[in-house]
Amino acid sequence: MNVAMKFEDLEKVYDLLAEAIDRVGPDNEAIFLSKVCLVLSHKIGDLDLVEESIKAGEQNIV
Amino acid sequence: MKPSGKSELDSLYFEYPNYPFQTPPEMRGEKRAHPVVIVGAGPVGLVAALELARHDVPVVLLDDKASLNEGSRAICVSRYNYETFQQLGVVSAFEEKGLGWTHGRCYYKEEQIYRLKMPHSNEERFYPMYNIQQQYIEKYLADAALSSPNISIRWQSKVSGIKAQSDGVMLDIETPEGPYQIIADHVLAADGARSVVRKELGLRLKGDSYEGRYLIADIQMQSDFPTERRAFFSCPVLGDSTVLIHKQPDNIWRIDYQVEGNTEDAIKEGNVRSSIAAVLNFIGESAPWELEWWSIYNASTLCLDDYRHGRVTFIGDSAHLVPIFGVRGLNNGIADAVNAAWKLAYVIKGWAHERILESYTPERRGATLDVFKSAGKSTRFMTPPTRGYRLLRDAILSLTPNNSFAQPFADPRQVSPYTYSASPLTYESVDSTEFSGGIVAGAPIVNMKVDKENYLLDYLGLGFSGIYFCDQDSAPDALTKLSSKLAVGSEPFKLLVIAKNEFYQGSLTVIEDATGSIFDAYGAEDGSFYLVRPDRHVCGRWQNFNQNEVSQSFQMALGGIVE
Repeated sequence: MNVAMKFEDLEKVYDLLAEAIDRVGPDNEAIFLSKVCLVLSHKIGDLDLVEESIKAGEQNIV
Repeated sequence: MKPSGKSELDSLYFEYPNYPFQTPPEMRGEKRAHPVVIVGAGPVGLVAALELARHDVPVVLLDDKASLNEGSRAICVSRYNYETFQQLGVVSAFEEKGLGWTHGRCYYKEEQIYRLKMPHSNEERFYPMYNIQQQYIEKYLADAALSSPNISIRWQSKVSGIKAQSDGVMLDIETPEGPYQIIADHVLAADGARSVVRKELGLRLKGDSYEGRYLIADIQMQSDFPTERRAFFSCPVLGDSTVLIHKQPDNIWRIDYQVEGNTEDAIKEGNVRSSIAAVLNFIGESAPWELEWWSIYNASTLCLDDYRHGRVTFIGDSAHLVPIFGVRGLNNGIADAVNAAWKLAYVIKGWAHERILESYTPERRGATLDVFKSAGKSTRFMTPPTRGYRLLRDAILSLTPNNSFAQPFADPRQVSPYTYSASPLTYESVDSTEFSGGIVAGAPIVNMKVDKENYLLDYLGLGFSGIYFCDQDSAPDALTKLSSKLAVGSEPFKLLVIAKNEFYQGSLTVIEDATGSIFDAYGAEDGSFYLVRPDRHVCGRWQNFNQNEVSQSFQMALGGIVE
């Protein structure tokens, strides 16, 4: 099982994603985020974990 | 559809034959018994007729047309079916005309993102895939059928009714000279997607239809681009739709493109022409071109619950409709035809138990269901049904150039022959688990190179064959006695010995395999044995030849002992 990321690192991810979203621009943010999800899924290699993450992402939207 | 001013059978490159109606014996008041009547002389019906004729069974083939099917329709024939054509004795015409290919290119927007390479080696006789227009496929098969003494084709003969009884099938036929009836012991329904036989028997195809539609068009154009499958995703000139391009013989190019919105508008000649012009401009073709033919297509996965209905057996599109991506429609139809025909021939000849026919649906419907499994996936990729699917598809395509893990998504999942592992005719030998590779029971044999000019298939018999692998200088006695035990009716059992060393055995056909490449392809050791059906599929295999088990497997492959 993967170990949860340190909070300091997660803060870095926060900044990195925010800056990348700004770089690709509003027209490309959806495809950009989809690509990141696919790459991460491939690297994690654990379907359950990915499914859990998708569900977590879907919560409290709208 | 044809350009305005052209009739259905006007073609830029193909001369459609005209097949006259000939008064059949039944209309002259003569009674005839017919073991098999095939409805539909398209490629599937013709292959079934040729396979029956090959086993010396007389066939009547009925078709409502006076010529071949109009338009090029199916254009890809797999290696597996070139091997079938070889067995039917027609492959030389196909080899001369067809364009073999091994590669493809995949584009996303403007960029090439993936180079497809299909598994191929110089040890194989045929390419993995050939492009050839359906008219030629039908023409070569019809020419062979017309010259076969066992086949009688009745053109301009339309089936209008069918009565299937336990002891035979009666067909009502309409002809230019009036109606008549014909009675057959067995009927093969090869009458296509809109099968009259299926409708008359009250049977229905079940399954799903997909939203996405494709316009498929043929043009004639001079171009040096090689024979490769090109797939363009998000093609910028056609509103980000998907476009597929294939080369065919006679400078004919197939262009398929996804159609959004109104079908009626999409099929108008002017719109077809402007879409094609935009695509050609996009791929950098500037030569003049002419429009030959076009049609509209919508993907579905539909099939019958049972491919047999008493004495009527459905082969090809009458039994199943599959999406075009992966070129499985015609290819699986031909495999249906051979599968149904050799079994029926063996039953008619009294060589196999009638139970053998029960293996047809599990084997061939199994192949269809296998297609359905991946068809949904490939259709959703080729034609994303929702915004979400579209986004993920584009995300994958955008990842493909730099991330090899994404490439299999772009792979067209082309047709591959189905393995009959769950078939009642397939034998799981006790020592089959000892094989580390090779060809599993139920799969077709690999047509390995034997020498400069010959391949394994050139040595196979008309009926069942056995392949024995030998690293000694002679074969066991039990093996040499096998041939006489496994002969079926007038079809001898063909025993091949693949020998690594010099081998002395007068009566056996010996193939020298000094390099061991055939041994390797079959995962064989000294004493390994493969039992092969007339349709090239492996009944069973043994790491160590076992006479009793081979005999059992052989009986199983004939549907059990004939009482």
